Parts: sequence; C-alpha cells; structure tokens
Amino acid sequence: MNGVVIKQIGDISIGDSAYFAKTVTEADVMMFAMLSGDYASHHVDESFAQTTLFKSRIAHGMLTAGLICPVLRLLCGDGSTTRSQEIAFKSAVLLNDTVTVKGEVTEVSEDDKVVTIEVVCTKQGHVEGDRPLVLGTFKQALVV
Amino acid sequence: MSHHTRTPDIATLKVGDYAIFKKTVSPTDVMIYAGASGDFSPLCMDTTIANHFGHRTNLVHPMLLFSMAGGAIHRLLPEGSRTISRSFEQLQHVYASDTVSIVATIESIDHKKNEITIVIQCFLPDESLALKGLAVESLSVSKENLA
Repeated sequence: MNGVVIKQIGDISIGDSAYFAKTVTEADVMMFAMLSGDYASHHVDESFAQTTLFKSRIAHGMLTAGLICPVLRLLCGDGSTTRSQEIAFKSAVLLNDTVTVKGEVTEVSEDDKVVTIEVVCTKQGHVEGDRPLVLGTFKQALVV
Repeated sequence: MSHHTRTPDIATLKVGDYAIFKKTVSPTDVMIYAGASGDFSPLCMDTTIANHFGHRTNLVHPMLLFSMAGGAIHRLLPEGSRTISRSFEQLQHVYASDTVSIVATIESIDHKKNEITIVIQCFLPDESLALKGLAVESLSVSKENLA
C-alpha cells in the first residue's frame, strides 16, 4: 500500500479526471451480500437468476457504486470523505463483467473545501452512445 | 442463500411500512469491503493513521453503510424489486465495531410507475443519526434498470 496522499483544495481543479476498473466476481457479490445483508434472489440464487431476463445473477447496485470510491480518493486524496451523493442505476452488472469508473471534477468550492465530482460507470465493450451502468454526483469534503 | 421468492406486488405495501437491519460493523467487514470495492482508504484500513487524524479508530467506509440500506430494503420489499436511484448524506462518522441500525421506511408509492420511495436512516446506539438518504425502487420488470 502506498503512503497517505493528502490534497489541499488548491491542488484540485475543475476538469481533473481519474479512472478505476475492476472485474466483479461471484466472490465479490457473495461477500457483499454478507456485508450488506442484501440476499435478494437475483444476487445470490443462480436457479432463480436463470428465470430472469439476464439468465445470470447480477451484482448489487451498491457494489458497483462502491467501485467509485477509489476514483474519489484519486481525485481528492486520502483525507477526504463523501459528504453526499446521488446515484442513478441505469443498467445491470452481470457476474464477471468488468466495470470502469470515470470521475471528473466539475466544481471546487474553496470556502467550504468541497469538491463536486461527476461519475459514469461503464462495462467492457462500451462505446459512445451505449447506456452506462451508473451515473453519479458526489460531494467530497476535504476534512484533513 | 436465498430466503424465498415472492411475487412483486405493490398492493401489499403501504406508506409507513418499515424494516430494520441491525449490524455490528466489524473491522473484518471493513477489510472485506475494501477488497470488494478497491477502496483502501488509510482512514479505514490503518488505525495509526486514523488516530493521527483525530479518530478513535478506523472509520467505516461511508459507502459500506449506504450499502447496508440494501439489507433493510430487502426485508421491506417483495422479491424482484430493483434499485432506480439512491442518494445519501453523511452526518457523522461511524467507526469499526460500532453497531448501526438501518431503518428503511416507505415514504410514497407511485402506482402508475410501480415505484416506491424509501427513506433510509442509519442510527448509532445512542440513537443519533449517522446518515440519511432516499432510495427509489421499482417493482416493474425491466432489463435496463435492474440493479
């Protein structure tokens, strides 16, 4: 693990961007069910999932949303914390899909040290015009 | 592990219905979540660093707490419900080994859209509010928005 990266508000500019990508495995989904308590059948029951449109289990939406956090830290450093967020789920993540997160700084408030970041998550093979997986807006506060 | 399968039926739900998911968020939970999400924030992973910045111990990832809303929502809604959107605001930090109670309460039901808006609250043992938010869930079968 690298050392702690502390950013000051002056280190962050509108237009800064960062990426993170991860393949979502069955282990991830089962661990996430354990952590969150969300054992909905379309996440954990393969026989049920085979009866759905996807013919596969799908990842929890908030598991996908969790992949956004590394991008927030890349943009705002380790001394930041999420003050508020709005997330819209547009499409499903199937087991073994690879999710790519892109975050871009759209607003920097020097007075209250809050950074606004717009986020889009896509899956492998995504091309311009395809439906994204997740769209989000995050307010990241620099607390250190 | 699937509990059981129920047919989505918005008629069985009413405003004010609620469910609670209570959990002690262990340091192990925090570590496992870091592995699943890729978020190895030092404030969550390293007690020394957390102490250095004035915290009594490791923080719980806010997104892990937000995720536990799913545990309450799963107990509230019929099987097959899907997340449309979620928004959250964190009011105070939660630390590893804290016990939190996530309460999901139906705020409104849109019968035309087959959508339900749910208020999410996360309480600490002293009954103070650590986070609050809204979740919009759909009971309509749609390949596009299933999450």
